Amino acid sequence: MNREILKKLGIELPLLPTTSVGSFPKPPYLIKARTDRKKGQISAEELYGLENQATQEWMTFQESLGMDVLVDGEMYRGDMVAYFAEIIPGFDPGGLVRSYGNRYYYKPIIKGKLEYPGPMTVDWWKRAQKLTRKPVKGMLTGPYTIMDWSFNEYYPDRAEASMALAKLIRKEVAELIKAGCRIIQIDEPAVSVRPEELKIAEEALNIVTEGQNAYFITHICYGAFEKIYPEMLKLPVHNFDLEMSNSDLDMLEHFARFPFTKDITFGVVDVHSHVIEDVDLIKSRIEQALRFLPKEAVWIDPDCGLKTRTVEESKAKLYNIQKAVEAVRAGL
Amino acid sequence: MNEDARRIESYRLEKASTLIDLAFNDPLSCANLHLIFPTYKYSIAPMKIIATTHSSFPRIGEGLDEQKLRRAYTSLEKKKIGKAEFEEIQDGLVKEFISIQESAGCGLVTDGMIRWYDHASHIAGHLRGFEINGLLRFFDTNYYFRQPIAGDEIGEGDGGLADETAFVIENAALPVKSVLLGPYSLAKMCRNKSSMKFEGLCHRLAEILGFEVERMASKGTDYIQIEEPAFAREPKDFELLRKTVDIMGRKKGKAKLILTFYFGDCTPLIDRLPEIPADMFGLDFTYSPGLSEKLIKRGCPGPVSLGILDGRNTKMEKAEKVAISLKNILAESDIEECHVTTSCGLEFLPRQYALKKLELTSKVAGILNG
Repeated sequence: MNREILKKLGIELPLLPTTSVGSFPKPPYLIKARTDRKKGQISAEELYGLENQATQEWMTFQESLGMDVLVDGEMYRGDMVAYFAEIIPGFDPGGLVRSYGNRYYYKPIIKGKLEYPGPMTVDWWKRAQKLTRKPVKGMLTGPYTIMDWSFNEYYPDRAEASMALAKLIRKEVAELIKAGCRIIQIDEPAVSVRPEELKIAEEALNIVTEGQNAYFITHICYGAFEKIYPEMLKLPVHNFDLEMSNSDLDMLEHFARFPFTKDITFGVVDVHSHVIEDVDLIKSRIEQALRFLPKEAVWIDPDCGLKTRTVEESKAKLYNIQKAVEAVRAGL
Repeated sequence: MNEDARRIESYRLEKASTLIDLAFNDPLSCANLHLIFPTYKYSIAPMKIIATTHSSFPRIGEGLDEQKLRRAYTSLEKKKIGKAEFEEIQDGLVKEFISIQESAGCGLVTDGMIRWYDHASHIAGHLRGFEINGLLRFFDTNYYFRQPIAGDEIGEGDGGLADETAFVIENAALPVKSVLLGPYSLAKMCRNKSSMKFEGLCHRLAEILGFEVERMASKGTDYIQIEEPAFAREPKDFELLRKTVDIMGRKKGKAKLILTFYFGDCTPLIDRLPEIPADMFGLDFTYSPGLSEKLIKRGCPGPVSLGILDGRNTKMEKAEKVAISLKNILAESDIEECHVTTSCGLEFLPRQYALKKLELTSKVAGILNG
């Protein structure tokens, strides 16, 4: 358990802390503004103002629910890799590729040497943290995932591209810590995809986190966890934020065989479904989790970022999560 | 082997690395080759080399006019358009893609899988008795499919897949390749809630997909590509795979069955492929570091569809270099037909790059055809 580490960082959390993976849906006015900005119909300042407004709205909502560890909702990001690729020198914007169904994302191309451009997320984190006394997570995409979700025309192989990215993400982590951030999430959803490359991801994450004074979470989703478990526990983080409900909690069987030795943020609602899971269903998922995991080590959140849902669906899902957690906590 | 090929082969065996290094590292490799071998010809006639799309093509591009399908999906979801209007837009895009392939110089066309929601649920959705569940990652890509759930009642499809083939045949001047996800991969990607074990499910799916093969063949398709990416990653059930192809192969009529592997190393499969009753084998070179060498040494296992251009990276290969590699690979193979294609479907690339790869495919085939 890593509650001692959190304590040393000055963070006290209740049992089953509630949080979100990172992204929330953009409200319609912001979606329109982003389109308008692309067409040159509004200025960068106007867009920035609306991104701020949307961030404040999501911060207020999370506070009002009573969530424990907040996120800024990534109102200023289009995509978790493209956002960084647009800023980091060495990337070309690439083009649209399909994620699923009718969803597309910009997949960038590494065309040259990657260099750290200076803080990329720190100002947004500071703005969000100013709005609450609760901890706000610093949100970064991990080096392995940025590499895997980019085309590479420059580095000789996947490992070298990952390490180049790790070195510059490390600098961003240092900047976040300097700004006061104590919980930093490094999203590595691609890490479960090629089990044979887990070592590359581990080495890259080690470059990012080694000697940095923060509580580190990594988010991993939609992959073959069973193929990298329990080896994945070697990744140098304190907490694994995992998508669990989408796969009917089937990882619990593996936890029964090989105990989960780190903290876990347990995904309890599907982010790709319009269906709003009711409180009882979420409660039962949490209770199942607690049969295999010590209660001090469990955090609760949705399976993944909520940006693909509507604002209303996202709020309803988060509301039900919070109510379910409160009900379970009452019985502990 | 003709005199020219013999000279090349002899030189290649003596100084293989020199030739390859020269060809691969010198931007003027082509010019150099003809200086070294005044009679050097890329052509490996009479073997028929055909450029083809592997299977899929990106359904949208950057421009507003290239995003018709994306808008149509949204409009359909919001009930602003009906199913008929949506399908009309899909039809238009399939026609557009056929035209793109013809313009790019392909010798064989697919429908680009424009109508497929994804690899698994599109097939399962046209069959009887499947439920469609949540999202799962498609192998090691960042693209996701809805997982079909197979129960005991799974069965013959609604004929929709064959109708899609018929549409391509009606609208294409060139031979047509239809695509199906193979029973082994479909079984792997399904959640099996039937009383059948994995092997039983594979057999049942082979029978069910056999009906689809029969229907596609009866519409007049020239090739049916059975894709087995799951097998290439874990090639332990060879006999099971062989049986499934055998079951489907009995229904193929005059169509040629292409058994295609990707996202896994094909090299260990090569020696046993002739045991499988397919007309052609599709091979992914990008996941198979030893494949070229293996094929140069033993020859091709039969007619092949060589996925030698990287369908997962935007970096463009040099046509001449690829042609030299292919010529080496094919030199010892006594086969009548070879398809040149990308390692996998093109939908993993942005459209502008996919189009360039398609053109490159044709260029390579053009060089080899002299």
